[in-house]
Amino acid sequence: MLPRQVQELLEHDDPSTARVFPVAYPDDAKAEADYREMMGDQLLQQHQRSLHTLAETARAATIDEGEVHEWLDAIEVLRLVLGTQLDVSEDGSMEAATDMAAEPDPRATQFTVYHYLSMLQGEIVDVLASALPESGGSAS
Amino acid sequence: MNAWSTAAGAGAGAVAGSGVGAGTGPAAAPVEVERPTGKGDVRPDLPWLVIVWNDPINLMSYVTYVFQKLFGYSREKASKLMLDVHHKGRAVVSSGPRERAELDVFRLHEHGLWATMEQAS
Repeated sequence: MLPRQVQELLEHDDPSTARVFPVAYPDDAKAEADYREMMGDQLLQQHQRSLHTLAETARAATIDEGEVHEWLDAIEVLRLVLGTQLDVSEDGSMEAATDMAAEPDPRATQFTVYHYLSMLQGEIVDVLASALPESGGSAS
Repeated sequence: MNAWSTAAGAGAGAVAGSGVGAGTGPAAAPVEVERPTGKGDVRPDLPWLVIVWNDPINLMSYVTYVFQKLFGYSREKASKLMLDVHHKGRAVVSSGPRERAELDVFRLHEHGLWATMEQAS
């Protein structure tokens, strides 16, 4: 199952997960190393929890608000990893998927999943964003 | 920069959370006395800038939502920042003392955005 596969990739620091752990200090290797040491594990654990929740609740009839936020996080991680593997460009869109589907390409399925996750993320964002105050101010 | 004008002017009730700027332009940033850390902080009085970079993966609606959620920006402000990132390749989304900037970077990383920080010059 996809979430579990990506959990494995994260655990083994696979190159396709690089985008999940971006550099904070591009001009200061020491500061970057300190940042990674301090925050790296927390970031990893958060994503592992979200992916676990997604795997566990994927077939649930309903999910609660906390799980929605975890789904959003998990889907984001899945998209970052898949997007990296597929090397999507700024124009990575349905058009490219259609082209791929026209010819036998092993990445076609991957791209379809990536595009599906994009649509799902968009729907979740629409719901969550509508609950935020239009004029600003923190909701939490 | 007028990064905080919208949030400050909205007068939107209880504006809590670390992300909403209590006037963090260079003139209003609390002055921190930093001991030499050997980390290259040669000018501790200058604020740190939090920069978000464009990437081909993140949805525009998602990036806008993250800016609203983390910084309490209005939808309009968050959308404008997102478009700056998209069209110009990068945009400064917040600024302040180093520790606060680092926290902002971490929160952006938590949400999958590509964020870096650098000291203003």
